[in-house]
Amino acid sequence: MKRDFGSRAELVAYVKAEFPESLVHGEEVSETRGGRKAAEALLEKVNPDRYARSRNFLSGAVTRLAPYLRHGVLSLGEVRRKALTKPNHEKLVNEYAWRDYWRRVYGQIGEGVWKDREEAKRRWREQRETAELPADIAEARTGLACMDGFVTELTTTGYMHNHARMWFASYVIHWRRVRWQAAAKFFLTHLLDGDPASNNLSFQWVASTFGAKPYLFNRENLEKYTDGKFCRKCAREKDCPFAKSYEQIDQELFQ
Amino acid sequence: MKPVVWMHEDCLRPILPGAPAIFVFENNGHSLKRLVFLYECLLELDVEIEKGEIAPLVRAFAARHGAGKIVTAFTECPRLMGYAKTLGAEVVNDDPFVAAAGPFDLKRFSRYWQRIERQALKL
Repeated sequence: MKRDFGSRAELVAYVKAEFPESLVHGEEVSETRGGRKAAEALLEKVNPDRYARSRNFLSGAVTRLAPYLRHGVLSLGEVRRKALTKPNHEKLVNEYAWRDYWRRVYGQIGEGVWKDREEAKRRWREQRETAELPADIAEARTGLACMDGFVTELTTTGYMHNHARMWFASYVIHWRRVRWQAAAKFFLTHLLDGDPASNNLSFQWVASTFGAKPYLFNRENLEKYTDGKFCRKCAREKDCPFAKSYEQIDQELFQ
Repeated sequence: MKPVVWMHEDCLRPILPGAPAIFVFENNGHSLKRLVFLYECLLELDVEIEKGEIAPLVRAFAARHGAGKIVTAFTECPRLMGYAKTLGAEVVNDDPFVAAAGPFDLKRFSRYWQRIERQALKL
């Protein structure tokens, strides 16, 4: 295939022509550039101390290294060693270890990442379970500014903050009772860092099929870590399904 | 024996600098933005880019270069390692997260972390 391109636009036009089947998922291209140069520039900026203090906030000092790690542009060994040269690196190294852990589990179970690892720990109050991702979720028209915002960012940029992934997965699995595999597949199509190991096993962690309990959140939690940017403009602000205590949510969703 | 490298999407970095390398795009359901990202990664590498079926294309590439062996990077992906086996490729694990030898108890992350923590936090 061709290697010389005069511009990024030329490259994009070529990839579109060579892979027309990909266009069914949209024609958006991420601002995130592939390649070692871009990866090294980000790696230089990694601040493990700020990461440890702010990573749960959407505006936090996350590394944005995931696409490069997923495709081995950077190795987990080199990012670990780089982190160790900077202060307060324990949390960041621990998070890198999660990626290594998911990979090792994947190596052990292979295509089993698509099947529940364990029984879900709780039974939903209503047992309906949907195999496909509902269109209102995939097309960002649930009316929930947070969830629609997460999906829009995912489908246009190929990125979703880790905390947003957890909220989204929890909403899809527990509130909407969609089988986690449907959302996992959606993520793999769009996430620049999508890989079956971290992606599917994290979905299973939220679902409690690879973890001790279902992951839940409420509006207070989401509002805090998003600095309220979604709730302020949400059409369903008065009808927010997450504006409850954890006890109320638990009772509402589970038997 | 002169080697060639089969580069796959789990390891887009040189594992055998100087050796001819090939990458093959499969039809794997990626969106355009993922494909463009991958393509940009490949353009910074000295690698021939192909599209189609992995095994025949890699074999033809090796034959064209008169290679005696095919080398590829280790990945936990069973599908890609299946191709490595089909190709009779030598698999190298060039830079693992930690060098600790398994087997590991992978039931929960906490057990795994307990086992590797000391090594992971040491230069």
